[in-house]
Amino acid sequence: MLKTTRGWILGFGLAAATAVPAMSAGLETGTPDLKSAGALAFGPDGILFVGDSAGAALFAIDTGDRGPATHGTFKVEAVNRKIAEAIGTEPDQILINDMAINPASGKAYLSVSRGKGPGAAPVIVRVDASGKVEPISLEKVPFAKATLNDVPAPGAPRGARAEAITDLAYVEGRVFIAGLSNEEFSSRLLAIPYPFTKTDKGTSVEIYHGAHGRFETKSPVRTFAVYTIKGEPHLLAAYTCTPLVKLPVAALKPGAHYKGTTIAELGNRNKPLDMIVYNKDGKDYLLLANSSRGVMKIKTDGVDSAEAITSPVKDIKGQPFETIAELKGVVQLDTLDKDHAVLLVQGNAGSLNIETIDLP
Amino acid sequence: MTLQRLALILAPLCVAFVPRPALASADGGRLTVRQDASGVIEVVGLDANVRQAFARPDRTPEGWAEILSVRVAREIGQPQAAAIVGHHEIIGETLRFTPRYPFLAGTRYLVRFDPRRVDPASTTASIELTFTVPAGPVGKPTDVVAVFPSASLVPENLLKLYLHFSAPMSRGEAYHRVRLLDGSGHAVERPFLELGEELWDPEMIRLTLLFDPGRIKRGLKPREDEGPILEAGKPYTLVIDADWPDASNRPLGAGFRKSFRAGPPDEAQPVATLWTFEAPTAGTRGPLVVRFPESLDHAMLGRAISVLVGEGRVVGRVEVGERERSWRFVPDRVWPDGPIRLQVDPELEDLAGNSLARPFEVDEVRRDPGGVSKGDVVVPVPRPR
Repeated sequence: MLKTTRGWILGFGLAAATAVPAMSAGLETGTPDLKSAGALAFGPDGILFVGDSAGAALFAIDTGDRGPATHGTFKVEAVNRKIAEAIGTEPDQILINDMAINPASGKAYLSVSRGKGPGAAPVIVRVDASGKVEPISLEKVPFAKATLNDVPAPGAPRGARAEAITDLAYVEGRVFIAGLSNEEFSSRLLAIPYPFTKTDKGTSVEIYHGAHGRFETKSPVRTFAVYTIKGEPHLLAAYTCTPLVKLPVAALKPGAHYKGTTIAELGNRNKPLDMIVYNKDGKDYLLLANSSRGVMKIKTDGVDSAEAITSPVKDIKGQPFETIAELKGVVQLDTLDKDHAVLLVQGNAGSLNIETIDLP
Repeated sequence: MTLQRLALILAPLCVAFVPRPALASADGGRLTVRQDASGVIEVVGLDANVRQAFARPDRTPEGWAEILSVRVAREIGQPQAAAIVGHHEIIGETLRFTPRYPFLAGTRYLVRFDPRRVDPASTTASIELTFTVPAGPVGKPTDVVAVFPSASLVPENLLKLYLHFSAPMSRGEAYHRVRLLDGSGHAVERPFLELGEELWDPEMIRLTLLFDPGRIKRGLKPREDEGPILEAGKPYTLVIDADWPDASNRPLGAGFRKSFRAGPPDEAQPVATLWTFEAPTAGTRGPLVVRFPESLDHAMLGRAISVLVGEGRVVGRVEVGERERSWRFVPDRVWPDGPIRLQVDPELEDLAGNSLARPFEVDEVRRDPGGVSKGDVVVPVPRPR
């Protein structure tokens, strides 16, 4: 499953977002030719960014959903069943790929595959706090498309094309994209200016993975968040088997190769699923949902000067964290407001629920 | 209300309306569902009062659905499904519903037309009908056609398996449907790296399964805690579950088992200078055969080697030989004169993930990321005398 973060820089947040003018500049009305709908992220003014790995493209779609922000409390049971019914199929015949909250309205948007085979159709669904499920028509909507260069070929080994885009974040006029390229050092990060003008080669990223005792260049970032360290925006990125890596945004230069700083190993046998940054009682934290290690509240203390992990790690090392015991089965999360997050949670008998929580 | 003619028709979207044999009918034949894969539903013969009531500008999508709705049908006693999203419109005396997403073959749908929603005094009862769009011709069930590596002896640090199917499969079940059994028939715990995205090719007929690298490489905690996945000298069986649904949600025709034995680890890179050749004669369409001293990666052999004569690339057909230890190329046209060279992607790997460019286990920092591995490896093929 593709996962995403929204990437608010703490200290800027919603206010900075709404200050960016002309979000709809460069959009043309038509039908975006999505081949797949994976990672999602919101910009200001209801602009939804959709990662399409199969189509090797990033779409910006004007949802027209500009608020007002109601920020009601989600308690939506079996949202996967509701979505399946609305699009005329059964719950076991859809996959929910990602969830993002529109900061302008507080509504949840989910990217969905209708079908599980090669002909699966991409669907974007809006869910409000009352539980109303609304598949969005993509006919005659204002949108823009940025085609990505140098993506893995459709038949590339190990299904690499499906990981052309693994996560997205919009920050102050740029969309950051994590994923794979077709290059030898295939893990890459891209920064695409929005409104879209051009896409470049991106930056290939190398990390030291202490839990695997090796350098990695082919494993993609699974989820990332944007966090300002000493005034400089950074990406905090998590990988499978869970190294957490720090990269300055300034290092993301077209065609460059950059070695990220591994600041934590959060445990083997685990996929990081989704991550947000938040502030609680004056301190900043990461909240990271994982496939087999629960939801981690990770301290950011000392992240500026954290010593890089450069040798094999038996299990866990680096930034201290606590696992939030009561949060189980979380597969997606996003920021609702400064005190709340919205979760997509695996419930009983295959059901997926959307819930609001107080940030821990 | 007088309902002069009422018919519920599932009609093609993209061709002029031609009545097809009815899938189902009700109400003395006034209501019929006609066959099509992704159609529209029409109620014809609405009278003026009803049309006017439908046409109120404040009618919402939910309001339309109260009058004419289509849902996934549920068993008696189950809660009713929500209405399917789509577009309602009045065209002349006809109410039309076009679903946003095509009706799916094999799924049962419930259609309900309820004129009392707009005219409570109507004497016409609501009409319900269920229909199922028939599936296309039911072919043979999908099967596992091959698993690579095909050899019955593999290195204990085997990196990956390829599962080939006869038809497209479904996403989301791979890690539940494949087991690895040890020699006494017990399942090996979590042998595969369970990635977020299952590693399918675009047609979804080939799945790549990666063994957990944490249990391949020495000195890592998963290996220390649980031991290696494969151990030299021991037998294993890969078992593929027959209930794994394909892309049309049908189970496989049969389960699949492949037995193999683990051998010593392979930590050496493949070396192209050790390859041997059977070279063709110019002017013929004879095959070019390359033999390797070890098995190589099946999928990569299909794409990693190109044949050049002079500066020109030769177009032809590739076959991978038994145990992936040979590669056979037959050109579409006769071989031209000139020296033959192979252009080989340095990413070409053996079964343990050692590539021409580097061994699988590299610990040291690469100071020069653009080093020897950047370009293709060029291998001259000696021509027969």
